[in-house]
Amino acid sequence: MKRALVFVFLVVLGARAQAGERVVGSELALDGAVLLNLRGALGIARAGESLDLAAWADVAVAAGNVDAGDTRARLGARARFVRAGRFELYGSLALVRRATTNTGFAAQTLATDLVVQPSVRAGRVLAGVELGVEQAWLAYIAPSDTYRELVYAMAEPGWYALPARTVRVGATASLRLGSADILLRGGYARSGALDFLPQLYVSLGAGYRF
Amino acid sequence: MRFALLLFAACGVDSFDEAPLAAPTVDDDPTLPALDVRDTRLHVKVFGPAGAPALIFLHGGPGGDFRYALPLVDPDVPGALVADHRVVMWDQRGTGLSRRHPRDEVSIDEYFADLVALVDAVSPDAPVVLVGHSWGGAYAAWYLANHPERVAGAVLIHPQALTHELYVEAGAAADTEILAEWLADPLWQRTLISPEDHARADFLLGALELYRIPRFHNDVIAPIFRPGAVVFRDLAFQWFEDTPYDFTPGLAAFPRPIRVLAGTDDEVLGHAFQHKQMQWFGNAELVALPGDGHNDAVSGSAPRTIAEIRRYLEAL
Repeated sequence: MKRALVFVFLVVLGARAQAGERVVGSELALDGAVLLNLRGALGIARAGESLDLAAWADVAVAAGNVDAGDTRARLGARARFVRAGRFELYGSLALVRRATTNTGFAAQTLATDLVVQPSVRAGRVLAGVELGVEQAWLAYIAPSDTYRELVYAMAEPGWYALPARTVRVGATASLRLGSADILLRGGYARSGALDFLPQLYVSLGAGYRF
Repeated sequence: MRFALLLFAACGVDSFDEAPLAAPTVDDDPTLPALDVRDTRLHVKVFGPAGAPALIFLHGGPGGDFRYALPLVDPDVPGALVADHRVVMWDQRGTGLSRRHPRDEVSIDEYFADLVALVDAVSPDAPVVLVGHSWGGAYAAWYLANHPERVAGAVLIHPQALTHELYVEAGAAADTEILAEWLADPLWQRTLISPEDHARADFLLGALELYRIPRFHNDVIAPIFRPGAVVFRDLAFQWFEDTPYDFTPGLAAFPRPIRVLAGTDDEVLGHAFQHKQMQWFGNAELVALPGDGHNDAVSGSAPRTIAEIRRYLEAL
């Protein structure tokens, strides 16, 4: 049983722009449910050597069960804040909207996803650590009729504050090959003190710049 | 975060404590029938005439509650158990509507001690009949093996594996594809509602209870008051997985007959599996319940189960 509860992200196409570049790509990931993730990114600024800013957006749908009720949309920006020799420090901030519709309830959340990524560059390879916190600030939760019938009749739909926080700690490595990037990520995520299913992730991806 | 909560509260947004999505426990609602046992407060409801012999039902899980088994106390079925027994329905520590505890106060030893105290509280002067379903069947087996003088008889319905070796075997039978909806949906849900506290964790587990889990073949989804996520996490999931436990020492020496009931449709803990468990008992009879899935015997097919229990009680 536990074997089946360790799940893995598998990203087949990623997209990571740097200033002045445009990137399109897609991802396929196992993220609780398999996600089909479509992403676009646009590098929008260059200011000397210290600033490298890109905006990006993606949408994802849980595809493992062809479950169109489980979706995520993100709009974010990523910047390189520090470059000192081989060391580079990246940070990103995204607005995240998640939704679910399942047997027990329907819910939508509005969250922010903050990621810090200290990295080391060696030639065409960039390797680093990924530290991320996705904080959901608001949720609208509507228990289903089935939930009210079989579990708690008094559960009412409504807005809830601070419904979720997911913390991620991982490692990343990317390799630049001409107009393409190959990206490898892996790590651990945790959603709540009473989370009983371990979240290990590994991803492999690629993006195309133009 | 506290500031954010205050800000949202000022805007009329609820916290999970203020507008619960899971039922109140005996600590939240003092009108619920309860019994103080050791350091906990259990949701306990007694059916049947006062002074009658006690029959204690032990629900499944760990982490479930007795709501799904309420058909067993139906007074209108032929041979109703409540006609001449005090049927004690109770939610175990940390689950159902019983008190919630921090993780370090939920353990198998606490569970064992709770049951000893509960039996003494409800029937201090006479032995009791135990009826246990699934995990409750194994729980009852542990008790009658260790306190045989306090048990007049026992009916074990689809009892959980009595040894870790058999638990692993049963788990393999229950295994299913990783992308199954009943597993994938809850994994996604926790990114919207984190199991950060009892309120949220129990709500998420309650939603999970609504999925039809393959290979147990239940006819209907059984109702539940409120699952106990900490109990499920630390006992049902972790303790059984990691502990080389053995509930069988002493079982063979139990001096009275035991009845084991098992549905033929349950591929995990059903009739075929219970054949393997019969080796541990000195004097037990295995009775097949044709067509029953895992929960059916105590819910949809309860009248037939009541009749089997009645036959067993009359033969004691």
